[in-house]
Amino acid sequence: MNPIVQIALNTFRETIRGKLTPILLTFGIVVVAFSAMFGSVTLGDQIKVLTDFGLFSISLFSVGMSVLAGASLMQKEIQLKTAYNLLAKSVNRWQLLLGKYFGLLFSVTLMNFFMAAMLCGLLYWLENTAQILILQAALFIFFELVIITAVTIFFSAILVTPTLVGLFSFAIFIIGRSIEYLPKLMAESATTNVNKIIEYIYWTMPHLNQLSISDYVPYGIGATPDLLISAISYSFSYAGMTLILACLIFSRKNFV
Amino acid sequence: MSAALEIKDLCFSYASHWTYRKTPAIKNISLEIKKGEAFGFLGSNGGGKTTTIKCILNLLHPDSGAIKIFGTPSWLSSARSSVGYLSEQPYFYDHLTVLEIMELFAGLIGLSRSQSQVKIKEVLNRVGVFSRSKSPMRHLSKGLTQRVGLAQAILNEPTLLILDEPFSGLDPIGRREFRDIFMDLKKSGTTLFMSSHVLSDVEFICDRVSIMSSGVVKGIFNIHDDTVFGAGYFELSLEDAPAQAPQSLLADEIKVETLAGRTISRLKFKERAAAEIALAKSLQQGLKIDKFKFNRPSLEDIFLKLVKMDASS
Repeated sequence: MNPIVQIALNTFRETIRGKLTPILLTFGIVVVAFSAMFGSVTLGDQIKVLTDFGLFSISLFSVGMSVLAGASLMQKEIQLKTAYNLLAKSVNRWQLLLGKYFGLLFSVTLMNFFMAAMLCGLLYWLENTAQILILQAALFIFFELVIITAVTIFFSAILVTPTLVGLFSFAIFIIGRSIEYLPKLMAESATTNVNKIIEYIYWTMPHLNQLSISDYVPYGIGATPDLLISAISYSFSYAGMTLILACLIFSRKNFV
Repeated sequence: MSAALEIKDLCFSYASHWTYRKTPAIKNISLEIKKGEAFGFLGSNGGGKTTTIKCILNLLHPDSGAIKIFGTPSWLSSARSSVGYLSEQPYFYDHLTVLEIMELFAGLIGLSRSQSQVKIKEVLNRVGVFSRSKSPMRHLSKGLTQRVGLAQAILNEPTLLILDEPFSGLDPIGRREFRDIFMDLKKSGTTLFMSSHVLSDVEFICDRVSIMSSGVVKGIFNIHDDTVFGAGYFELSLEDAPAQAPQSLLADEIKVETLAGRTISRLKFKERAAAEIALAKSLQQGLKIDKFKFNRPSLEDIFLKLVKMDASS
């Protein structure tokens, strides 16, 4: 079997069996269930509120798991020297990094779709109608995870402390989600230099806002085929470039 | 014919995270390890042994110099296909079982599922952890983890086995078992490159040793070369011998010690004949013989001498 698949499979096992998964998963389920209660006391359409809040929770917990588990992933490999044993075999560093990426992505994807299925079940129980659009929204959360997991792996390949990796990755998620406000900031800014910095951030940060359909799904609006194609191509290209950069940096790293 | 491991003019410095100021850890070392040889890589703590091993495995990028494994540059991953490596106090994924760890390594070296099942069973039995193959790694003691470490290192039947402190964390039985495994591997033609502080085991297993201190190789010795270790001496120990008796035996050196209420006279002889005559005389005189043995300067003596010389300089 390919070394990347081998490493990915073991990363998946290690992540799923770790302490973080049951904690986050339980918390995620509790929040989804709580949103049902919250929806029932809200004026207006309970289902819309429940769908909106549920999708927000799924996105937040999936990204949270990706960042938290990913932040310590490479650090553990290096500090506990498990990577030494792998790299002493004829495994390349880029294979180790990609194996870690795919293993983590698989874990968070599974968690994402599991929570989405829970939300679907809850809505079916309340409304007696299948909410297929929830799964479509989960697919778009997956595209977001493709990017955020790559960003986390990138930082964990270059930074020493998991806290910094977590902070930077989560900051990128927040910026990516709010990227539409940056052109407005540019318009309001008086100096050219600040504008240049904002423009640079605008073009280098992931446009995660383009990947979310969670705002429309509660109103029964799904993704168009064009949006789906652009989301696939954008998320995989962005993640691909981030991972190439991570692999290049990681290949020069000294395991001190 | 290429050597199993060739290190030429290797230099490595650690750079500070903040200032990038470089501290040399390895200073221009060169070594050539022959195929099938057991080589002891000794040195004081911080001497540069682990750093050198990391350079060999491409975990550190040297400042200068070249490393070749069976003629292939070590930075190529293909060079490591014939290498087994046991790190100092190895650590494996907590939530995976011993079997899963071994399956991971079997997959990495390209064994098929059927091949790996047979091979894993064989190596786990060999290192004595087969009965624990379903235990998660976090339930294993330091010594058992060390055994799993050795199992993964020899899974690919390496022609070059690199061992960094292989005896650490092992009980005396484990140490003996590891030593036997290394001797078996050596007999079957595996090249051993071993860093260890357990000098008696290194002396038992290795053919040659190098001693490293402050990033420099202080010397390379053949373990079986008497010119390096000196000819040795015979020692005759007498218990509670009368005061004049030892002097009459014409020893080259006499030391008298009191141990647990007993007076022990240690007589040293450079020549075998003189020692045997002294032994015969002692028996004739009815002296109580505590010990009669041949002492050879040990690897420890040489090691201490070189490291102390380096420290004083």
